Amino acid sequence: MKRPSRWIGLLAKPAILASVIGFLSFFGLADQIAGFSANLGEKDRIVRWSAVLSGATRDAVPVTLIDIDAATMALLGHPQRVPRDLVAGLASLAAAKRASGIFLDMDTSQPGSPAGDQALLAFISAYPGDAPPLALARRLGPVEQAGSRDEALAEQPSILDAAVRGRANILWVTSISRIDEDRVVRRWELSRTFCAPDGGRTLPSPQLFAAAVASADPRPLSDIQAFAAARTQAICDPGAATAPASPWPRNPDQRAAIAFLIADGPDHADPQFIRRDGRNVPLFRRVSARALMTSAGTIVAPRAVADDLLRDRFVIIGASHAESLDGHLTPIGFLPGALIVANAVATAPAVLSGQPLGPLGATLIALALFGAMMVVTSRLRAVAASVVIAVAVLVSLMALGRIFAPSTAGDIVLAAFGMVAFLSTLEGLYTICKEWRARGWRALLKPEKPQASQRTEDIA
Amino acid sequence: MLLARMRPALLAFAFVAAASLPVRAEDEAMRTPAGYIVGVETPAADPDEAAHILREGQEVSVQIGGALFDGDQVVVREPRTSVVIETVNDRHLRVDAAHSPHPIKGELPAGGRFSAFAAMVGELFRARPEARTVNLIGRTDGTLRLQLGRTVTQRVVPGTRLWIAWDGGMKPYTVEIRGRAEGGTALATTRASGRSAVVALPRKASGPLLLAVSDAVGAQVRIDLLADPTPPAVPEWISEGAPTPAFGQVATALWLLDRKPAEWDLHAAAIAAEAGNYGAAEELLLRLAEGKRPAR
Repeated sequence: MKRPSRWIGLLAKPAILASVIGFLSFFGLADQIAGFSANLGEKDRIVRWSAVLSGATRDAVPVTLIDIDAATMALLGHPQRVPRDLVAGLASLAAAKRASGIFLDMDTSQPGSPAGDQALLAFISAYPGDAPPLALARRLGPVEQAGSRDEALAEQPSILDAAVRGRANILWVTSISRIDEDRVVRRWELSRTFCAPDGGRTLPSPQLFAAAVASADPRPLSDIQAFAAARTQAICDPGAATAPASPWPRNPDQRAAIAFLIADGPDHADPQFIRRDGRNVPLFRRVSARALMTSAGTIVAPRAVADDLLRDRFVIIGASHAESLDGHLTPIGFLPGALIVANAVATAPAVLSGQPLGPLGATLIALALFGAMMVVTSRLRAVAASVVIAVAVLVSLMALGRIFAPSTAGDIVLAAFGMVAFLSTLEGLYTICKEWRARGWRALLKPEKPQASQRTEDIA
Repeated sequence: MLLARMRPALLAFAFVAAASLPVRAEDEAMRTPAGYIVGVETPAADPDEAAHILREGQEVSVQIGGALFDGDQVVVREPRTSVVIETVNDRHLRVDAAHSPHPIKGELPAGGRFSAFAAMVGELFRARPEARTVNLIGRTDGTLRLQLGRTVTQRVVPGTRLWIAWDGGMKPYTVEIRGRAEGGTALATTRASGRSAVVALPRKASGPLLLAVSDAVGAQVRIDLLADPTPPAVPEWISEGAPTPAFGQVATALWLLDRKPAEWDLHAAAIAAEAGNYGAAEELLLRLAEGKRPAR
């Protein structure tokens, strides 16, 4: 029979814990502690942290989003489609302010109002050869051929096709992303190849285009064309003589994870600054198209707009209003498509300039990292082991992010971390199984603390 | 003689001054702004005459997207001009002549990846945002409906720009104001492809009027109007206590919406619509369009 003092000793610990929890609940802190635990286990949060730590802003492209938002649509009287004369005016403004590159994230596969279409056609037709490189979004649709795969996509014609043809500084790009099984956009698609009997062609993504024209070390558009030609040949005609490897980009990762650093918020919401040409510039600026319009609905003169907003920045002209139906789930919440593109564009140079690494190399590094973590933590208590693993994860992210693409670094570290967790689980199961024969169901209980050995006295 | 003796000192001063110019320029480039100008509304042909930024004693042009630094002052001279700013201290603010000069204070948090990481760790302790409601009903082009000002004849002030919103129907829409008598002539007409429009009520309008919204298939909804050049006198405490004109306009609209009977609702909506890109005004108009009235 246990002595009363023993019972008091046993009950003291839970009683103290209950008192502390009750005290915290009284001040509303219990919810925060519960939220902390829940937040810590969120996979996408880990992905976001790894994006920040692994140097996703290395050589980042400063981006400005001209947002055709709900306020703009209200000023225009809530039209069902963004007027194309407005788009032409905004692009003209960005070109006049010498943006480093411009991307029109607008569907032009269907005709709009005659006046709007005419204005946009006139803008494209008169686009000067020395104006900033311009990318237009090509709409993709299902292939209307018997036997084609469900996921196969084909280029849809645009009202601008004839006007764009032969213009060296205007490119078609595909603004598409990978959607995971849980409907969350996490990865980009660097380019999309369309094979045809005459050889096919490859369209770059906006981030590939931006990395070429708007990075700190701009590349000629011929580099994008060389990459596209090599990619087309590799996919559509793999048996032909090997095409010369495209020298750029260094790491053409087709499925890289997008480093989501830019959230959906106002211009003053915790911006990140990057160094560019010896200056501190905001990584991302967002301006409502309405701010660039007069009360009459026309676009303001270039001198009314600050140079810092558009000059030497990659300008995306996109829409976030509800009628655009272009919102998607991401690791940082629901974002308009234009903002997903902005995230991909801003962090593209860090991915594309990283050391390329295949699946085998990534697996070997992850295994090595896993082995190192297990060796270091094998003799440590659980709390100490957790701290060591957390530090190892942070250091590995920073170190690997400097060598490889941030997305690759994140993938490697997450894989190693997952292996540690998996092995710890296996180790626990093995211990239970081993002890089951000797202790039965008591193997599920914590081992009892060894009793202090009884004192012995020498008998004289 | 004195100048000759001072020549080395003057030369040294000139050298230091010249050498410090690029340093100052670099300081400017490396300074972190407090926020940005996000909008300029002015009827003036030359915006520089209407408003400017006072920075270290010098006038700087007001430009959309321009950075604002700690110590700057936003100066608005022209009465009908307003400068909309977003800064770390003011959040979203409309500065007009009545509230000029407006001092800029603070600095945007400008950290590297470690401060970004620290902020992310801080997120762990942040409570989840409150749940919001969302309408899960699919959108359809239903019957043309109009909620605002349907219950009683609406008093409207000639010379004002009326704001009207509706739901359903097929675009394009036509909004027309005409005399209520049979065969009354149209006083104002406007076309819209969206579901709201602003239509100017001419100064010469008088007596009973009719506002009609028609859609592409001929459906029509109407509101009875009565031209009344003397709107109710708004208490002075509203205009005096309002920190910004836009705030004052929303407060005036709310005061009008509180009148019984509800015959000034359309006039209230017109005043709120004049507040421009102001969240509270837009929210109020949205509610009015849905037929909801703000509760006390």
